[in-house]
Amino acid sequence: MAFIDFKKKELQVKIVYYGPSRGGKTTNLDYVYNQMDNRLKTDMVSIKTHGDRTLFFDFLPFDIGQVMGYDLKIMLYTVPGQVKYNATRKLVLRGVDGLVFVADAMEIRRDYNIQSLENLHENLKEYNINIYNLPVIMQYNKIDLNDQGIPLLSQETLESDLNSDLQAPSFRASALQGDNVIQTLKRIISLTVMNIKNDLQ
Amino acid sequence: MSNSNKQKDITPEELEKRLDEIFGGGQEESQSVEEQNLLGNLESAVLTMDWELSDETVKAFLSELSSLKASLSGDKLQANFLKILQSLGKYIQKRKAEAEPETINLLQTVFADFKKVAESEDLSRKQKKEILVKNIEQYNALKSKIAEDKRGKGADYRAEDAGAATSSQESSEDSAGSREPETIQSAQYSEAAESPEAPETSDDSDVAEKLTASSEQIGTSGDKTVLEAVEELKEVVREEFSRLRKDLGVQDPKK
Repeated sequence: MAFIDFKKKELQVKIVYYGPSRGGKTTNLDYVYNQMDNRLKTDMVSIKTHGDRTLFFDFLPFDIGQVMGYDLKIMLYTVPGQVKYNATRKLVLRGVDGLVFVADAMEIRRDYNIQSLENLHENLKEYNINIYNLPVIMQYNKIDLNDQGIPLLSQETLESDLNSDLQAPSFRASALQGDNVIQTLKRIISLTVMNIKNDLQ
Repeated sequence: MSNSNKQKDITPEELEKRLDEIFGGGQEESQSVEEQNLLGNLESAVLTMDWELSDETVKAFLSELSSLKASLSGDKLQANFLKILQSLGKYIQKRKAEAEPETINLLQTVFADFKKVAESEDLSRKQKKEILVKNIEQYNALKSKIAEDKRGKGADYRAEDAGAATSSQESSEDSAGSREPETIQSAQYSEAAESPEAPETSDDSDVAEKLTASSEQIGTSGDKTVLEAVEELKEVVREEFSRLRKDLGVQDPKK
């Protein structure tokens, strides 16, 4: 359930970009940030490690209007993908309202995607969150690598590995080039906001 | 986000439209052209006022200002420039020839800075805020000067003050223009001087505020997950320092 600040009459919607290390979660947020209308632009918080990896999480907030008389604030987070940072990932997941699972479409990353999805299931279980009740979007990232001759997983394989149970809406995307990045975001916001609205009613 | 967008609950279609506004959905170009035209009209009105200060020219200025204000309500920083201009315009409208002579100069300066902020692609948000703060300070200085001059006028003026003060308590945007100089000292202080300062605090503290809010959302101290994450973070920081030392060729003081 979204966090409600009764004093400010504000509804904070938390959307987390989850997925394997180096899958393109931060690149998604970077692209979103760069695409935002300058007049509405907010600050994005991003803390990187020595090797330009996400240290704690990335954070990008913005307002989108009202629901049930409350100002709606969308808060986008990423998690650190590296396996060893599980406590941080778990922490970021707390209070999540919507999820984008950013899978790496490269063939060699197949196992990492599956492990990351299993890790997501486990971490959500700790908060008694059933992923099947949560708005989720699957994003199969790095499709642009196909042009460079890098072997990619087929859509069927990705769906079968990651989405056969969930049956979540999915997008083939290139976070680097921006293909389907905004579409992914719009879809998860729509699903999440409408889900919250239904809960509140 | 414009105020018009906040008046009612979101339907899926409206949500889609709003997201298009935020991330661009084909409307951006025509909107910016419209804004450019409005800015040009306002500039003409300012120049006309400089040439001839009359009821008509001030009215035209305030009218152009209202159009631009509606169009820019999503940008707090620019909206605050417009609030200062509006306060000055309404004061001039009421006092006419008796208005403090510096007012029209300040109005031109504020407009020039507003135009710079609105049109420049090179200025950072921080630089724009600095320009706004400078304008607020100049506005406040003029406000103080008018207050001092008024106090100097003595008892004859007090009867007029009393009437104006009463009307300022019944403030509304439309009636503000019919008020005496109190408009710029009291009611408009809250409208133009306090509000313009708001972005200075809200913009800078926004992230910290949001992080605080999100950390509250994430958990409280003593929570097992939080403690684990903190330990994890400490370990990462240690690793980062260790790599940095290695890069700099500095030995770990503990070793």
